[in-house]
Amino acid sequence: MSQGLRHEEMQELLPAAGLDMLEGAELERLRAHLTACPGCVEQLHQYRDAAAGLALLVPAVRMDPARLAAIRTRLMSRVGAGREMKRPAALGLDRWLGWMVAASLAGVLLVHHSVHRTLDFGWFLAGVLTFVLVGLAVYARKQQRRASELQRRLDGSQATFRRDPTS
Amino acid sequence: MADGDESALAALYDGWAERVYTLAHWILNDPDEADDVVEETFWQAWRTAGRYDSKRGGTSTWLIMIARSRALDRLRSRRRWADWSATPGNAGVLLETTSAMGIKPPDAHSESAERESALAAALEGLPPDQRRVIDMAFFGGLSHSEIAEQTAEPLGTVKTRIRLAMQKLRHRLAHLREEGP
Repeated sequence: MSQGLRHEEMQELLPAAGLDMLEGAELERLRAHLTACPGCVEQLHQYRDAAAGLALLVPAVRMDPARLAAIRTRLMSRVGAGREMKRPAALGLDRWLGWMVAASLAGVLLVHHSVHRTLDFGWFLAGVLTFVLVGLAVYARKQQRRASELQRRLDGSQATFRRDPTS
Repeated sequence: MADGDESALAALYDGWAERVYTLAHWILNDPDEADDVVEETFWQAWRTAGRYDSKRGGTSTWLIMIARSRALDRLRSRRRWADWSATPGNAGVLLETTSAMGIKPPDAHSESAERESALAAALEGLPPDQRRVIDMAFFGGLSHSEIAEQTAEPLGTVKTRIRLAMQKLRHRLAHLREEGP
């Protein structure tokens, strides 16, 4: 099959592609063709523009301003929640890890010191206490992560199923 | 918005939420589901803003296609649960609009009134059978074979009608671009 014929054949698929109607083998063939044909890529964008334009031609349906505002509030709080979850996770992990490593080292040194000074129970006690504190910190961190994960799931479910209370 | 500017998202929402709602409403014919589509659309726009390339199309095309995709996902899911006949979508709106009410370009939130007028004129100039298949494809999310089944027309005829209709709409817009400043 000549290149020109193949190009024409692919061009015939573009209108349906603009409406997201292609599937299977036709879609794969067009995808492969688009990687090497800027002209068809440009045409595809024009078909998509035309398709999207159809949405602007139907009569507008007015939305209750209260519902419009409620969705806006939900959306912005969802964006804010996503941002908060990202930021402390990155910073918090470094901080916690640093403290845990430092405390573990201190614990090892204290226990080691107490072994070599057998009568000095104060050092031993301090070492054990440090390990207990590290263990508690690890446990707290684990619980904190579980709570964050549950909160994230809850936010996701609410966004999917929650209805505007005014409706 | 790609840089995480929340005010840009708020501005996009304020400018386009009602238009997105309108599209979702015409596809789903359910105000609650249309509400959800509005939220999902802007949430997806926020999350994928980094991948948006203005060279590949305008903001309106990008946003409308996200909204259409989200609404059609719901419509298809509804069909899978077999209550499609109980709460049908609104495929047929273009036919109703043009035949009974006349095409009404929206009075707000439009990026280019000229573009919409051109499209409206092009749509009005389409033969009813072409307008019908475009309607079923865009607002009903139906495939070629589903349209062929519903219209009792051969598959080849449906494909040809869609191709011809889309070519006319695209040419009208391309013509407008050439005439433009």
